[in-house]
Amino acid sequence: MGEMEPEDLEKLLKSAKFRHISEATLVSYRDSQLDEIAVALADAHLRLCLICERRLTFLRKEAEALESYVLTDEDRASIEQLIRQAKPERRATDYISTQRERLAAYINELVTAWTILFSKPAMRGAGDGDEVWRYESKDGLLTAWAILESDASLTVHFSSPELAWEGARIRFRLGPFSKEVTLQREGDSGVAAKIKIPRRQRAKKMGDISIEVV
Amino acid sequence: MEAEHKNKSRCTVEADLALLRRYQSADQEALGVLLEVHYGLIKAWVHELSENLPWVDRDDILQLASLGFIEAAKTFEVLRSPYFHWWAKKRVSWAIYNSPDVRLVKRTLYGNYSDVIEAQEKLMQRFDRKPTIEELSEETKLSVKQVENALNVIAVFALQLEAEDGKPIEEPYQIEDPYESQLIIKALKQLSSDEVKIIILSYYYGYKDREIAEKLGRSEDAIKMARTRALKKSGKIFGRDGRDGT
Repeated sequence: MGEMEPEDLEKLLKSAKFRHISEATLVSYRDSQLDEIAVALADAHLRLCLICERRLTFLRKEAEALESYVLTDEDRASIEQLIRQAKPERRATDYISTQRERLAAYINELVTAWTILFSKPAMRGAGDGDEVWRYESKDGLLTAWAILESDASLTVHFSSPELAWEGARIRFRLGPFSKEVTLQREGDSGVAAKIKIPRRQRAKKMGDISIEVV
Repeated sequence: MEAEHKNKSRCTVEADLALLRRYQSADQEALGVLLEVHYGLIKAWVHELSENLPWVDRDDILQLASLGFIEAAKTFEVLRSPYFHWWAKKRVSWAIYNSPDVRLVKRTLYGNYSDVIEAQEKLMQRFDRKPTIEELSEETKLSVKQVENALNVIAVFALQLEAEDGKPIEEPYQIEDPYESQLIIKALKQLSSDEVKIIILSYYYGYKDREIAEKLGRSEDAIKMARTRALKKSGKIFGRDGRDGT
């Protein structure tokens, strides 16, 4: 295991005094936490360096500010505002937006189920008031079904026990037919909406459907 | 009328870390305390910078600085470093220097800042003493006021600038290598107090052996011998613990 040659060590010592003091060392210097030798080395650099001298002066100002600053009411109000900004309170619009996204996820599943079933030519029910399609989400939170009425119109029903969806608007399109409905409360049991598609406006391709939460 | 309150909590490294842990575990109240404890510090940074960025509204800078501070509290790695203020200062400076009002002139500021640092490096080595503001002004061709501004900005926090390709520009000056500094201190601690004095006076203050001899009341030969012996002893420490020897 070798030792450093005196010439190399001389070079290193001569150049060390020009290296700027790290912030951690300067803070320790300011707080009188350095031992005698470390202080002597720091002093040797501070003697030469305007930049580190200024940095030290400012670190002393920082310490003074931390120690002696007195918060005003205005400061406290600003801090409260900052905290609100950092984590905004849940606003009604956020809640609505979240519920809308949740409903939209269910609707997407529903549309997939509809498309799979009706990816063949329009079907007729076996008789008046026949249920020609039914969808129920796995958790039972959204149910939809389609009834072929006696006048050959098609009625699509949506129903959910999720009261948070009350007031949600659904834009329904089947072929050329399009309509917006609102999920409305039905007693305490949940929300519901229905859409009646007249016979003449019924799509030939029942798979041509889109449903959006708006 | 403005009522004043005394800050209840004090800023210590341990207290900062405890608050940071709480805040990072979603305790918003801890953020409030952290801000209250450090608000004086944030304001001190803003005060110093406002002097040097007079075209920017002070309240805007305070807002940016506070948001930068919150960002620092969010991202500080409590387990990796105990020194939160350094990180907070970095994040605050980033927030300020990347704001639209400051960004516009950042390159000019950075240009002055680099020139002043470069000139200072050159002059302190040339004169082996602290250069004066006037000497820096002459060397950089900047006005005395511009040099003063640059020095103040450097003192508060180094500007952070990205090159055109988005990569960070290296600091234009050399900060001590903490490992090397520790080794030097360790090596000096193995020496007698006279040997330490001789090494420091010789290599850190540039005294000749004759001058040291006069100071310590010893012969020039004795100083030379002591210096050589001290270097040899220190060299062993570097050989054993230094990069080459480990």
